[in-house]
Amino acid sequence: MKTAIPIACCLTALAVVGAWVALKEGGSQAPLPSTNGNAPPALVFYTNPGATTPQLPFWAAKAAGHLDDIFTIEVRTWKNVVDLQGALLAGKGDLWLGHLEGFARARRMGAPVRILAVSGWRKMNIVSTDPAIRSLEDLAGTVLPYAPVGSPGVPVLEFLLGTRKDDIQLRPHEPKQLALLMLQGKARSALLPEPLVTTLLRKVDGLRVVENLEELYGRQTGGLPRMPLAGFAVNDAFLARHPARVSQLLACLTAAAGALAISPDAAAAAMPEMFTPFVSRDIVRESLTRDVILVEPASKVAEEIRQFLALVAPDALAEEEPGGARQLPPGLLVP
Amino acid sequence: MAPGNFPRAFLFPEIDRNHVKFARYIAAPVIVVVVWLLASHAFGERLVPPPGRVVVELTDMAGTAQLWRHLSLTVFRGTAGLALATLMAIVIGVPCGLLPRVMHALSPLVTAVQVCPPIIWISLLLVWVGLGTAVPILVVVVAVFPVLFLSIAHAVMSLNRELFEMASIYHVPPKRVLTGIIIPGVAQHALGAFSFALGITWKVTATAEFFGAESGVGARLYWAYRNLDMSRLFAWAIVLVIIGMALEMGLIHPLRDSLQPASAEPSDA
Repeated sequence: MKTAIPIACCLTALAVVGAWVALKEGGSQAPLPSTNGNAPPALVFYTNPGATTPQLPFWAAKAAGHLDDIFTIEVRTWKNVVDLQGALLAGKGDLWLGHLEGFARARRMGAPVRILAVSGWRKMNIVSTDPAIRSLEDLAGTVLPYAPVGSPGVPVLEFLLGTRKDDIQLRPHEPKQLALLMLQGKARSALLPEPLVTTLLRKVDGLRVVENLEELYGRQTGGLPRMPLAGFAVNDAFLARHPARVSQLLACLTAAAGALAISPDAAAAAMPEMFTPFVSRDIVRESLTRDVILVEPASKVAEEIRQFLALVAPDALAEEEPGGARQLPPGLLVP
Repeated sequence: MAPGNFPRAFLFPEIDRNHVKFARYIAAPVIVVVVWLLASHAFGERLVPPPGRVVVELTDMAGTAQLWRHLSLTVFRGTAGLALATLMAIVIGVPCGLLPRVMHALSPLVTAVQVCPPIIWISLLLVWVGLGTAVPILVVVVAVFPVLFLSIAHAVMSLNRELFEMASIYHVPPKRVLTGIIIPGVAQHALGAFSFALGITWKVTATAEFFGAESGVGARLYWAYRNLDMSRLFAWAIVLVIIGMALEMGLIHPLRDSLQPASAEPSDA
C-alpha cells in the first residue's frame, strides 16, 4: 500500500482542481472579455470552429466592439451535429450557429429555437483529380465520397440528379479522413464543403472544382445561385427577455457582413485566434473567392428557407395540408 | 544449480539478479517502442507518428496549463461519478440486502442497467442534459453503480441472520448494528467491488468525454481525431494510458492485494 497513498493524494489534488475548474468555467471556455465597463446581459453563444464564413460577421462585430454594449458574450463549442442537437433540445445556450435543417428539426421536436438569420449560402463543391470528370453527368457509375457525415449537400445532389440519383453511390466520411484519402490518392473525386475545398486545392496536385452545388441548384430552381445552409438561431426564452437587444444584434451582424463582403482580408482577420488551429486565415481568405459573406434576416428569406428545407429535411416541415405545400413549423423564424 | 535455472545461467552467467529485475521493467517499453517504430515505417509518419515526435508533443503539452486543466477535469468527473455511485450503492444496497424480497424485485432492473452499453446513456444524456460535465459523471454512475450495489447488497444478504436476531433481543442500537455487524461483514466484498469499479471508471469517463463533453482528456482526443492531428492523438492517448496504469498498479493492485487472505500468499515468496 506504499504506492497507493501518494497516488491517491495526487488524484485527489487533481480532482479538487478539476472541481474548481468545472465550477468556475462550467466545463467550457471562459467568457470573452468585454471592452466596455457596463454589464449588459450575458449571451451564451454555441458555435463550431469548423464553420468559418457563416460566423465571420459575428466575430467582426465583436472585434469592432459593436456587441459589447448589447451582450456580454460567452462562447462554447459544439463538436458535431449530435452535440448541437442535444444543446438545442436541452435549451442550453442563447444563440447557436448551425445548419438550418438542424434548427428546423429541433423546433419540430419541441426545442425552444428560432432562426434569427441566414449567414451560410455557398460552400458545397464537387472536386476531382480525374480528368475524365468534367460535369455531374460524368460521375455516373462512380462512388462519390462526401464530408461531413449528414451533409445537406447529399439531398441537394440527389435532387439535382433526379431519377439518375442511383447512378452515383455516396459514401460519408469525417472531413479530415476524406482529406487524408484525397492526399493519399485513394479518393479522386469528392463532394466537400468550404474551407476544406480550399485546403485540398492547395495540397492535392491536379485537384480542381468540377461543379459548385449552389450554382447548379440556382440553375435548376431558377433562383439565385445560393442555398440557405447555415445561420444563427436564438433561444425562445432569451428572445422573449431581450427582443430589442436581439434586434440590435441582428442589425450588427447584417452591417458587419456588408463591410466584410468588400474586404476578404478584413474577413479573415475577424476570425478569433481560438479557431486558427482548425483553419488558417490564409485558407479563409482564399475560400472567400468561392464563398459569399451575407447575413439576411430569416424572416426576409422565409420562402427560400422553406424551399430548401422541403428539399433537404422535409420531415422538419409542418404536416402537409390537403393539396398544399409543406410549411415551416410555426414560430421557426424570428419575426 | 537448480535444473530450472540452467538455460539462463548457461547463456548469461554474468547477469546478476538486479540485471534481471531491470530487464523485466525495461522489456515492455522497449517492445512497445520497437513495434511503434515498425508501425510508423510501415504505415507512414502521417498515420503513425514516430515516438520522438509524440514525446516532443507531450512535452509541449505538459508545459501548458491546458493539459493540467483537461486532466484535472477528467479526474474530477471520474471521482465524482464513482463517489456518487458508491454513496448510492451503500444507501440503497444495505436496506436491499436486509430485505431479500425487495432485492429480488430490484435485481432484474439493476441487471438491465448493468448490461446497457455506456453509449446508450451517452446518447440519452446528450439529448436530456446536453453537452457538458454532467454527461461523463452520470455515465460513470450508471456504469459502476450496478456492480457496487449488487456486491454490497449480496454481502449484506450473506451476513449471519442470527447476529441480527441477537442484536434485536438485546436491543442493540441500530448505529451499533451498522458499525459492529454490517460494516465489518461487508467491507471486504465492497472493497473488491470498489477496486473493480475504479478500473472501469477511468475508461468510461474518457469515453463519455469523447462523445459528450467539450473539455477533458476524452474531448481532447476527439478534437485530435477530428483534425487528424495524429501526434496530438497519440500524446493524449499516452496521457490516458499513464493515468490508467498509475491507477491500476498504484491503487487497484495494492487494494486487491490487501484483500487477499494471508494464507493465500506463497510460502516461499
